[in-house]
Amino acid sequence: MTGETADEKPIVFVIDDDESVRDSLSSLFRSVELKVMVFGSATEFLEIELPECPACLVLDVRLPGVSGLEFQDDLAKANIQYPIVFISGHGDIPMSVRAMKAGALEFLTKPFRDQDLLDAVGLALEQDRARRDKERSMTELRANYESLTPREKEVLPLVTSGLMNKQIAFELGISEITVKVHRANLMRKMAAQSLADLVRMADLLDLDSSQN
Amino acid sequence: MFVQVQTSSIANRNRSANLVKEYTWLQDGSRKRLPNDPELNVMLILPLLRTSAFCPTGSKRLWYFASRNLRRLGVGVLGFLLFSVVEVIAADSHRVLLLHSFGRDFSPWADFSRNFQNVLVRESTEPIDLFEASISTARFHETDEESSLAEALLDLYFKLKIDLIVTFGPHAANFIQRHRQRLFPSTPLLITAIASRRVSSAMLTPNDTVLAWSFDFPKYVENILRVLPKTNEIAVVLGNSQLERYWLTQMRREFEPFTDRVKFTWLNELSVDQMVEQVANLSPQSAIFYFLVAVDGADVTHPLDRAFAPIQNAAKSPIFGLVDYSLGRGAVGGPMIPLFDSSRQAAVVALRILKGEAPKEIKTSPIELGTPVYDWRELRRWNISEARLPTGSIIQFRDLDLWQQYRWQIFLIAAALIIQTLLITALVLERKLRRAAESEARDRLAELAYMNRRATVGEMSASIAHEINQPLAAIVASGNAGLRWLANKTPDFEETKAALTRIVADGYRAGEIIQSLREMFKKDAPEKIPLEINNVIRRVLSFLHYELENNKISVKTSLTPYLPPVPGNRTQLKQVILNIIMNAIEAMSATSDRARILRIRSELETPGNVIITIEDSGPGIAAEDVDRIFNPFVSTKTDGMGMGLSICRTIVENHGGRLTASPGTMSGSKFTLVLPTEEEVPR
Repeated sequence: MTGETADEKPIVFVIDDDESVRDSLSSLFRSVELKVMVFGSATEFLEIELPECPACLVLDVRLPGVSGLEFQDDLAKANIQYPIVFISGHGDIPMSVRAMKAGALEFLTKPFRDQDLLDAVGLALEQDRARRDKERSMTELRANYESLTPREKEVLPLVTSGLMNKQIAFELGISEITVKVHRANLMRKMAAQSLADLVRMADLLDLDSSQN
Repeated sequence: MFVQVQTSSIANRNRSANLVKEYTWLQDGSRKRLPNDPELNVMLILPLLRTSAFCPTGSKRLWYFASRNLRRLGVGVLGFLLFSVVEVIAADSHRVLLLHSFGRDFSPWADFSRNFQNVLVRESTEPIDLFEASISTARFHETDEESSLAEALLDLYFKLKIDLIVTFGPHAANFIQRHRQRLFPSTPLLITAIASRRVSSAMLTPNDTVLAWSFDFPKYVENILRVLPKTNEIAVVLGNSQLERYWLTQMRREFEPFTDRVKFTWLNELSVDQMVEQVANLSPQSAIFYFLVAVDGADVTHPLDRAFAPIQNAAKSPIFGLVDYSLGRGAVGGPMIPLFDSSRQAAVVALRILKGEAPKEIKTSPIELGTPVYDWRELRRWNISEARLPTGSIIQFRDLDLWQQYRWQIFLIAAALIIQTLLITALVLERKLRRAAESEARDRLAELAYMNRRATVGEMSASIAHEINQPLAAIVASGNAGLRWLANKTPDFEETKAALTRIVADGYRAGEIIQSLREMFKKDAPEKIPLEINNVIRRVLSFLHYELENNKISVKTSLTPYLPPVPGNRTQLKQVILNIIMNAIEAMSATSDRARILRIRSELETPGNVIITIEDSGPGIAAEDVDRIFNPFVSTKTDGMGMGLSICRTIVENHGGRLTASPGTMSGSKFTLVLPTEEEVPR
């Protein structure tokens, strides 16, 4: 859980039962210097250990055993949040509506323009990267917050609610000097550059000053 | 009593005539007279006759018709015994005494008398009793036996009341006339079978009637010269008895006018053997006039005209006969003495006398030669044109031509032929119509099958589109990838090459898919070719690949390798299998409680049949529907048209096979398709 994985090379997962399609897609993605992993079925995909990097799924609607749309549901239930680009040999509106509602990023009908697919995949990877970034910063913030002492956790919402040190000291029944020390430690531990920064963090952590 | 005993035997088979010995045996109990002619060197006395046949209180006459008939049939080779017995008989029948000149068996009198008797007995209303006696002296040269014979006759018949005496031939007539006063002076007399010139008219009494023949010899010669104008010699065949010699002189005289044209040869002094030799060696322009051979030049007697046959057989020239009975026996014919006609006339006269008419009242004229009658076969044999025959001639024994002879047969054959022709025509027509109907039915089936195929394929359009798009998508993607590999700052030719290779393979693949799709959409080609049925099954399965996967159906095939080829229409058989599998897929689409399995098996049934079974694990077919489902417009599906299986069965039957449904082992249904491996004539 470190910030070093942020610029890791993204990967594209292709699941299609047709070997020829798999190979051609693999080649296409590699030609634009994307990492590709291909699978003949959903089951095969579920058997691997998922890497920690931005990734997306290129999924054939018709798959042996379990269909692409069903697989989409399964992934959602398993909280695997890769963006999905559907490709279909024979698209129809109800199918694409269902896929989009379930959170698919794009629905492409074979044969598709390569740029459309690459754009969709690029977008998907960007989305995933953003998601991953966001996920990662929240994790840091939460860790910083957890490093605070209980008194500091008491002080934090009062600070973000805009109270003066004198008022905080009065509130908590401690000296103004002590509040100052807590405040300084808190700002450091939370890596907040300014009071406004701290307020945003508190907001993200959903810390309501009123709750205390 | 008067008894006549005749025996005859074949003395020598090689001789032309049988030697006949005849006795006249007279017995009145006290005297016995036997002719002591030196020629009669055999004497027969039959004790049998004495003991059985002459018993005074015995039966009436005994006629051995059997032996006579045998003789007529020509069986009398062992000889025969013929006798008549006169007895005291009932007084209410007409008694007729027949008096012969030459014995009973000398032609033509024998034939005459036989017919006379037949007619007389047949036509008479009263019973007729016939008594026969023979003045055999006609054959002998002397006549001194006569008076004793007359006495014997008188003795014999005096006690009987004779109603009518009939004489045949001149001797009998002369004998009775000579002895008229002594013998039966008041008994009616019919003189017949005699030439008119031989009748002693002066001796006729009022009790006598004559029915005579008028011999007109020149007419015979005229006839010969008419039909065979080139004739320059006529051999006259006649015997040498007193009577025959008389006629010889008569003929000599009457033939005189022809002697400048024709040479007459007289064979009277020859034996029959010599005559045979003579007639065989006549010149080609000769003809034979057969008069009569009673006693030949060697004094051999020839009863029943036996000399005729050998002479006729030997003759190289046409024979003309005196009497009409010679016709049909080898004589050419012409005007002749009408023997049977005249004997019938004589019988009629006899009947009139018996009925009480006075003989002198019965006026008869001599019987002339009859209407010329010819034997058609002899005319042909001697190449005599019918145009030469006198007008009014009768031609007998004409061979019927084919039409006359076989009219019914010809008619029947013709009818059979006509019926046969009609039948064949009808069959050909029927066959033609049936062919047309069959061809129409085939066209209809093809049309239906085609529509059904389109519908089936239409149902699979998603699968098909997917299947076609798959290689297309791969091609496009590979192409783009290739372009990008080349466009990179450092172009990657290996990757590009790989992409191009994939493009080529996918192009082929797309082509194949299109090809198989076209097969399904194509109208039927009617021809049947030997098909590897396993390949057909595999093609259908690959075609249905997506459909099956989509419906999560696992396919289990068990195809027996090296099956003999099945002659069939590839498209139609594919359609059958496709339809059955599509039905199975549809049936199983609702199955959720168990695995969806499609089991396909092919195997060889021993008598030249390939069996394909297609089984599913769907809900199955209700037992009552098992046969109905093959009927048109019957469907167990909610949206089915009900044509698929009906068409399938028709297709299979067109291939000489069977398509049946039954409950399967996997709770679903099982379809069994049996196809013959050898071409059968489609019906």
